[in-house]
Amino acid sequence: MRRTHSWAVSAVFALILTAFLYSAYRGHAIAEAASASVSVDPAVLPYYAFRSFLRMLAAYLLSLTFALVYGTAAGLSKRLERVLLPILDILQSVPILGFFPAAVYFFVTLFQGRTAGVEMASVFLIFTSQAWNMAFGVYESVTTVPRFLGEALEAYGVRGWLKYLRLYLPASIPKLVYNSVVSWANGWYFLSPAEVIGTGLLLPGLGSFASAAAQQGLLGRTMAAIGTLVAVVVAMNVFIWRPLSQWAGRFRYEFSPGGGREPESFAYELWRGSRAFNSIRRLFTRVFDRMFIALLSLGTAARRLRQGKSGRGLTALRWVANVLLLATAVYVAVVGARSLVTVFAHPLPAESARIPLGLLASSLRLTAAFLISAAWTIPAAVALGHNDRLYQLVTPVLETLAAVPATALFPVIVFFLATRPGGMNLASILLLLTGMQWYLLFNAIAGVRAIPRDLREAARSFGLHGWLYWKRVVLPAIVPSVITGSITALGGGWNALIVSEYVAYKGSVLSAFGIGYLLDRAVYESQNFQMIWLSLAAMVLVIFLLNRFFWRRLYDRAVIHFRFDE
Amino acid sequence: MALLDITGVYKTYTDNNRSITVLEDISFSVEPGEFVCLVGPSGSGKSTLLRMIAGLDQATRGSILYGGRPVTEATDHIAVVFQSFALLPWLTVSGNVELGLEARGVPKQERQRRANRFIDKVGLDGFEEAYPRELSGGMKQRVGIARALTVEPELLLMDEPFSALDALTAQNLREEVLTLWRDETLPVDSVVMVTHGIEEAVLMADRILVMSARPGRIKADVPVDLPRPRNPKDEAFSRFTDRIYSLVL
Repeated sequence: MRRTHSWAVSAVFALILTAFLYSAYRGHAIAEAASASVSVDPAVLPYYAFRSFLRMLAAYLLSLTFALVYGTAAGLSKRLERVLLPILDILQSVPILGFFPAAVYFFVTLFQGRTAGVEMASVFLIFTSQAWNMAFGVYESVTTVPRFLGEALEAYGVRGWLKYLRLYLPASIPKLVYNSVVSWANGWYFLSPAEVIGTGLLLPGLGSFASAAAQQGLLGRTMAAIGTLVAVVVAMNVFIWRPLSQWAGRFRYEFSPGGGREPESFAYELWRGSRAFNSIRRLFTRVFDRMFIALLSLGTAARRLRQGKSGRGLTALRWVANVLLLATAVYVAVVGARSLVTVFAHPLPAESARIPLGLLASSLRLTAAFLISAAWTIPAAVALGHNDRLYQLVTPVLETLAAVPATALFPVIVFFLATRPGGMNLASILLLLTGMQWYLLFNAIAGVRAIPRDLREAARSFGLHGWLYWKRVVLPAIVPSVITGSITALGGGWNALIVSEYVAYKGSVLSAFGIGYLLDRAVYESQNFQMIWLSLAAMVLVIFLLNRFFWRRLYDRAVIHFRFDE
Repeated sequence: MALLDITGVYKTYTDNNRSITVLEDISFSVEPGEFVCLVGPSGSGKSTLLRMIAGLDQATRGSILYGGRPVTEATDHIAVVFQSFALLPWLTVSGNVELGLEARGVPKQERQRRANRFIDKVGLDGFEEAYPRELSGGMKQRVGIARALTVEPELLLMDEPFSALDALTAQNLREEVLTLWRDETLPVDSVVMVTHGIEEAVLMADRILVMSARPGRIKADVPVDLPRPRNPKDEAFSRFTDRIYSLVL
């Protein structure tokens, strides 16, 4: 992890987001947006599953394209890197769900009230939960390609697109596949909030089915929807992600220092043995290669063009593009500044005084969920990381469990806890927990498995056992990966806060007091732009300060002290 | 009685219904005070054999007896020096060297006293509080050696201890290891060292075991009868080296 912060980029971004929020909320009320009705008839489940899947697929394809373009651009150009990386860093730490209602209004306005706008908004929300880590993955892959490999290709005259096709794209595959698994899990997590918007708006899908059934007290049907969702998730893991992960192993140029192998997938053999699949794959590769060769000749033509007289035309074109970009930036900044004025020109609403208390209440919930996660995931990770057979056996199960979205379970959790005293508080912590624990677990496992074999054997041969082994070897070794996991987990946690403190249930609203509650109330009840802006800003500020002055510093120090040098 | 007695040892890995035999019918013994080198091409299972002697891996068949008892896990009498040094980056030189004693529950002061003695012996006086990342490769391996000596082993196992070092550093450290081995005040009695440097083996060992490529077998057991200290420039030395070379190839 590197320091990617830039004050200028942050300031511009704050203005852009403010402008976005303001234009989205101005003059709109929740009831105005289009609403589709959702059936709770079990017969529609397969169709709803298909709708949910399509939504996910659309968002994923968008994310994939974004990640490849953005990550490669940031990785290959030093100039772009200075701007693109800080932006990605901000996007990653913004609690997306807080901006979701704004996005809904934005897209609904754009599509003039048609349901298509709501669909676009939900795809957009899922996209924002998938794209950033994938882009980071591509960026990391591109920048960590050993320099001698690039130089070797240059020496043989391999440049431009061909160099990308033969070097950077294959080098990105392992991290891209790994992050795709994470992104799909993220996407499923956001699917329910993307289908059930606030207190009423619904899009046909598995998430909305589950929520609608729970609101009507039909627990069996809720479970049926969740069951369908789990079946889809499991099938995708078994038939797509496991085989793809195994395939991606071919694109690694280093071997993991822990020496362990990844679990093997039977579906991998299934795909490889299928004649139909192989002919499709060959066709696809051929088309892809043709396309690239066409691009190659296009690139050569463009280079010749630039060297020739018509180069002046290209320069002019670039100049016009720059002016347009600058004009847009200025316009957005002006709108942002104007909307900021509306926040502070009027007296602040009385409720804004409760924001600090709300932050405190939410932080306590987050801390509780974080501590519970750490308490079980670290011992589990150590056990799994030290036992290859257990690892191979349990990892697919854990990955599937992790992909089961907690937000879909939330209606059930609420169903059981809603009527109990403090039930909503407990339900909220449970939702946070399910949204945080997997990040910690998988990061910790990676940390344990990265301990060099020689080091473990040295510890064994010198008789280190039990607590002393933990204290001297395991715990220090996993500090950096546990910190990374904590940052991601807390990012997920802040996001989950927004859906966990405010939920519609049987015609009324159940809530637990916190920053998420304040935000949701402002969005769905009072529609007070000042409150929306203030609670979002407070949240973003706290996340930013914590990351910058606590986690990053901790990580930087940990890396110096706790890393194995090669 | 032999210190180490290995009879009929096989090592087979099973992987996807395929089995690969890396060691086949290995038998030899090491007498107290002996310095034995295992040489052979890569893939001959030398390191696997060493790890089995250390109790870090189990033989598929056959027996490994240390002092008449089968080796099933890491024991107090055997210490290992690793090719990659295997130092904990978050512990100082002292912390790393004391590790084995800490595992045995030796009190802090006693630990420090004993660790300091060996840190001095390997020439790292003044670097007690340094971290491994601040040391050169040669110094790191000195820490590895001091850590092994501190637990006062009877048998020292070394897995290509000099191959990650530059030629000059390796040469100096070889001489120092020989000096330490001959030092009567030090506990180390016997050494088994894995190497692929034939000159290195001829320079240091009392006996050289030549292993064949996969599956690893012992092709020859050659006593090195050259007088010590040995000089690689001697004619007898190079004749001996040539002989071992012809056995390896």
